[in-house]
Amino acid sequence: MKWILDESEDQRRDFEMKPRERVTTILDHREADRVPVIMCGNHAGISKGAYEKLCRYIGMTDSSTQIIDRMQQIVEPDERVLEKLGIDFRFIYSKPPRNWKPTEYPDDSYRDEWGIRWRRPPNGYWYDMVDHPLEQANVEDLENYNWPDPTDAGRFEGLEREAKMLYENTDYALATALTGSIYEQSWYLRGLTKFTFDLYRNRAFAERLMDKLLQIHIAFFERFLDSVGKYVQVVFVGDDLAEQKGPSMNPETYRSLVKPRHEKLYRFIKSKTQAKLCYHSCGSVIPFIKDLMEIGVDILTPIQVSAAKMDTQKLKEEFGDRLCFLGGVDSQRVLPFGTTDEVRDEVRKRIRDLAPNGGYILGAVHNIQPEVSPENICAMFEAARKYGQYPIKFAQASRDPPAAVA
Amino acid sequence: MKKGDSLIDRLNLGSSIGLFEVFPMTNEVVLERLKEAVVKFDVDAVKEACNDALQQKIPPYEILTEGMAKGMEIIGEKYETGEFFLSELIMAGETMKEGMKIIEPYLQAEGKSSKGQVVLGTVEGDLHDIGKNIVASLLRGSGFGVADLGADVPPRRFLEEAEKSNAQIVGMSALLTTTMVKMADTMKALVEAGIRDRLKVILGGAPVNSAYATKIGADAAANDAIDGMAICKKWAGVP
Repeated sequence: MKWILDESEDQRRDFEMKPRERVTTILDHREADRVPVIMCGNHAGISKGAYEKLCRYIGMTDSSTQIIDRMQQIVEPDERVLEKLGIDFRFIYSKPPRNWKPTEYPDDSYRDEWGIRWRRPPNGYWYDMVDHPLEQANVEDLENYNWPDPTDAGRFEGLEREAKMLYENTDYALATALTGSIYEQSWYLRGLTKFTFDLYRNRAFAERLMDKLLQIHIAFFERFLDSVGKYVQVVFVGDDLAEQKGPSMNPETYRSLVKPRHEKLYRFIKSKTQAKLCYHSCGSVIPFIKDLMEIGVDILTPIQVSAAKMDTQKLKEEFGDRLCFLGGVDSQRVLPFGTTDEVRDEVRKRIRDLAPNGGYILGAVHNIQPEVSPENICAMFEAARKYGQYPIKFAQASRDPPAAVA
Repeated sequence: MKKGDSLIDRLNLGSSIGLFEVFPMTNEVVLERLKEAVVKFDVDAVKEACNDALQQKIPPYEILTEGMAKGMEIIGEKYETGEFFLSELIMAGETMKEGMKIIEPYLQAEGKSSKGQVVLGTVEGDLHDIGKNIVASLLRGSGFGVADLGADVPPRRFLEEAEKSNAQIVGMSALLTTTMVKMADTMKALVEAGIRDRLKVILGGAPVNSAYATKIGADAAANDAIDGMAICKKWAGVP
């Protein structure tokens, strides 16, 4: 494929934005000095396995590994790693509650705050659900269930100070980790088959369960955003609505039952902060995008380009004037199995498709999994720095006929 | 004319008002009702139609293949054309499961051979079974006998069950790139036991494709549950 590279690269480096300014400019659909990048948080971050290899590769042997998401085995990268890769974001996480601890079992399983048990198979990368505590519940049981306490003071301890410190003493864009799932949390509690059945044939239960979760999330975000709302630029929320081939739930079901609850939560979040709202859903989410934009979503992530119809050029054309994109670098094939050259081509393609006129933050599609080599991670961020300089000079090349694809 | 007087009303109301002595439903009408009920995910109507069909002495195997399976075909078509989604496949599977509960004892008594015996499971180390469960329901609803071994199934369990049930098809599912390698281990176990050649082996799950199936010596990889069902039906020689 022919790439038209900008020859005046050195001149453009004369003006360099600070990460926060870069991110806010991009999120306002304007071009910055270059495309911002992300590799942190619990849904745009990096797994323990990939991170440990990366640290060895870049010669940082004294880095500790701090897990920030046990189920997914996601770590918070060391500040030095983030700096080295030029990551524009830093994340703020709520703290563990004071009055609750997970129940641990000898088979490498645990019960979470919602009462769901998760087990990791030997050599597994993450934990999977092994039971669904509300599987047999009826509507009345929902009232008596032992729900997590969203207002537990432990969750917010020291948060405001931390956020203020990051805001005032660093130039990074600040984001809050993904939480607030309504549909997914419902089926985690109920089991997918049972909850799908509820949505069609037992609506009173489905609606009551989702209302309970909405209530809990609003109570959480109220306090959380009281602490950090004025310091953060991006709030992550999400609910997986799609799979590899297309929607996993009927878009009509989404519109009638889930969307109104998403809307209430997102409007509430936006009443508490100026931050942009970033919605995560894996899979081929095309039929939901307009709905999400209607209810206040500013940024879509992770842009699973390996799923059906997730063509970044078309996404940008159709929604790019109002919607920003975060992620996009293929993690199902290119990052784990591609060569560094393929990684660089992938980065250029996503920049070419998504970055013109701002509105794109580059990162892996979802968290970087353990089989991704450090060489490929470094190639991704080096290429992003090289080809992500504005103006994107090779943008026009996208109209060229594509090279033969194997 | 008051409601219930017309022939249509009587047919729709079915056996609940005992009109069959007067207007016995043809087999086609009952099977049509069953098909419609599956497509509408109407569990009560499915149960009622199954009971009515049995009462009318329609052979159980025909109830399955000419009633429920026909409904399933429509659902498969709607899924393929993008009118239905994963949620509808789950609903269809659950709806048919209720019908199967009614027919299954009679099917066994009838002793009519199924379209084939399938051993299904999610491979060792992988606990993801949503897709595999849908496939199991769809295959049962299409007239296959299915031994569902669940999730986290080691190679020797696939082998044991394939030998025990004299299966024609082994289906393995994996969601993870790390666990799909276990499919190769299972293939090896089938080869070593000398039963590979009398079986068809099909793979399913996001990370697998035809190239991977070829690489490990399996016969096919399904793109999704509907595709998996179609491949099994083709192998069984049914249209």
